[in-house]
Amino acid sequence: MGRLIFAVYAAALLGGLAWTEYRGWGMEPTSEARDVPRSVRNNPGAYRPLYYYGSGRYLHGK
Amino acid sequence: LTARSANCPNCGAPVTFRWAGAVQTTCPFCRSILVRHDLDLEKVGQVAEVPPVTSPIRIGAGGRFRDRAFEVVGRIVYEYERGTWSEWHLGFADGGSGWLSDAVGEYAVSFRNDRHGPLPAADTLTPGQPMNRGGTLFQVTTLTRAHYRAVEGELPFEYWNGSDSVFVDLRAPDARFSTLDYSDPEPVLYDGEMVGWDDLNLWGLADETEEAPRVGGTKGLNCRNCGNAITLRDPENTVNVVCDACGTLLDATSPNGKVLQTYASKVTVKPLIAMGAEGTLHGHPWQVIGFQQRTIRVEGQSYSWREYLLRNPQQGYRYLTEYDGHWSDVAPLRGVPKVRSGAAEYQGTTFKHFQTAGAATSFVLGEFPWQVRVGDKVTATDYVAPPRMLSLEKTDDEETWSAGEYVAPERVWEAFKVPGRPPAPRGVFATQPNPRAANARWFRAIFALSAVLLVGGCFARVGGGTGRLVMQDAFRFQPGMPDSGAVATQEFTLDGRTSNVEVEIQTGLDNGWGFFDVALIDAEHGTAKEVGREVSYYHGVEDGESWSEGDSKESVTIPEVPPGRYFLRIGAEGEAPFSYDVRVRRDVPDVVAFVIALVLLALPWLYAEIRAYSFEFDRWAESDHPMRSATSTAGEDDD
Repeated sequence: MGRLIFAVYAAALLGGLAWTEYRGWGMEPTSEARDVPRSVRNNPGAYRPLYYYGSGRYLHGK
Repeated sequence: LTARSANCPNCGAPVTFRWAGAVQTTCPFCRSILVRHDLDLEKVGQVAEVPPVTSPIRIGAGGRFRDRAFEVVGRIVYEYERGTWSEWHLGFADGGSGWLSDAVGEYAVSFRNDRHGPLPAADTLTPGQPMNRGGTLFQVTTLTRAHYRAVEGELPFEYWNGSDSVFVDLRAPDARFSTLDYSDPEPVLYDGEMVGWDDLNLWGLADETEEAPRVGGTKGLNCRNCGNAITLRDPENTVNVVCDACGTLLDATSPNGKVLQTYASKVTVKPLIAMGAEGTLHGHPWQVIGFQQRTIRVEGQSYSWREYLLRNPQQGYRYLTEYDGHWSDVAPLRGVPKVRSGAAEYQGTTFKHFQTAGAATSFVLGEFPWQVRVGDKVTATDYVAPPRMLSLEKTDDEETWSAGEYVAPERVWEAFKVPGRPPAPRGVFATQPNPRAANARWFRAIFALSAVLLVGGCFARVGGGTGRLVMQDAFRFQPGMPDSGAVATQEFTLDGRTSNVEVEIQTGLDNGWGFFDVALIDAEHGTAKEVGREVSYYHGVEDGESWSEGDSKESVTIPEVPPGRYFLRIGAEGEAPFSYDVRVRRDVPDVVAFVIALVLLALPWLYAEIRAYSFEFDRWAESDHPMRSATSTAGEDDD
């Protein structure tokens, strides 16, 4: 029984890894922002990202 | 005398020769010993008593050995301190002559060999001593001082007397067998091989119901100590019998059951299988006729196991042994294993040395075809290759090898129809099959296959490149720049399927740091994935030694980015100006994911291996070679 479980586990792990690689999944924590103004392209300094470091601490939002 | 028959010079009865080469025969009527001369028969002696019949073999029986037909034409019965054995004289159809040794269920066929070099003196040989003969390494197994007990039928020589002679048995690993016979001034060599009953293809054997003559002339006796009536189950061979009422050891070969040893100990061991129980093993019926407990002492601790002696009239004797509920099926070995550097090799299998200890018989019950006493001592050495074991029992004049195989207790109970359930085995026995080993092997195989796929997949991914370069740009950071010195890169296209994106930042930092907040912005839909990265690189020389810390390059992988038009918005911070290059790659292999998957695969496999190892650890804990370190978890909970 343990052998079957391990075989299924290994197959699932390999399958999961293949799917992860295919989809480009990763463990890097990213923040998602929506409705980013089109003006950022021309005025990048006006945008306040989630990882803003200018004040020495992380801020959220614009 | 050339005729095949003549009259007995003593009683006139007709004497017919079965084998043309016979020199001596015994008158079947008056039991005169007759020597064949050119013209007549001469009486040279008298057989004092009826020789014991130790097996179904009889004079007149026929057989075939190695495609040579033979007839049993004569017999010599030898007697030694532990009992008797028979040498059956075989007359072969091709005119040859040979001997079938019949010693309490062990059989050997041998032929006189007069073409040999000098033979060693008997007093130079000891049990266990190797002897190279023709490139084959024989081993001295037995030195026996014996004398003729009786003769019957036709023999190839005419001389016999009752004085003691020395016989030295040699065995080779492949079951070849030799005997050095020191009866005459010049030793005589007999070469042959150990054989099984079925190898002899015998016919014309004694009927099982035939009343076999017996040395002592009795098939039962009364205990001289308590008067208990004892019926012998193996009267043809039994030498010792223990009264089951009082435990007195009796000489079964004496007509009135001479007392050999009284049972003084209060310790009584009750056999789990009753004396006389019958069962089937290896397709043959066996009867339990004897029982003994043997004890060893190791580091002040006593360990006892029990041996059940089984008898089959044709197949001979074998044992069932029991230790802490573990059972083994044991039979004498025909060949002699090669012993070298802590191991014994036999028939292509290497058995590891397990234990050597002095064993003493601590309890006896039932019948034995050899002398047995409470207090008998042997040096017992065990070699194991689970589920099999080779055991060597050594005394001053004998080395006896036997082979055992672990057998499930339920199988014993079923074979001998023992009521109830067998006692649960305790601990791990020397030859107990490792129930976790098969599991570990499966886990190992599954892991190996998975690892090959995993590593192969990883190489295929990495070998395909470190991702497609889709954008490259260069910037410079100046402290005090407004809005964090934020810049936006040129737009670039990410095509193909949804996949990851790696942003690599190569800075010119030298003993400085910078922080980058990176936003990957979808130019068409206005969404962004944002990450932060600090880059710092310091180096110097301290106490004459150079050092460095960090790296001037950093990369970050943004997962699951759909195809589309993108650009990067990068905000930088730092204490000093620095320049930096930005590279964006698409569909970058994640080696860390492969490593993590490999670790996750290895964990169950390693767990299975550790469990299997812990079983072996417990196995060897009671040996002379305990394993040095392991976590013991083996027990009775194995599947």
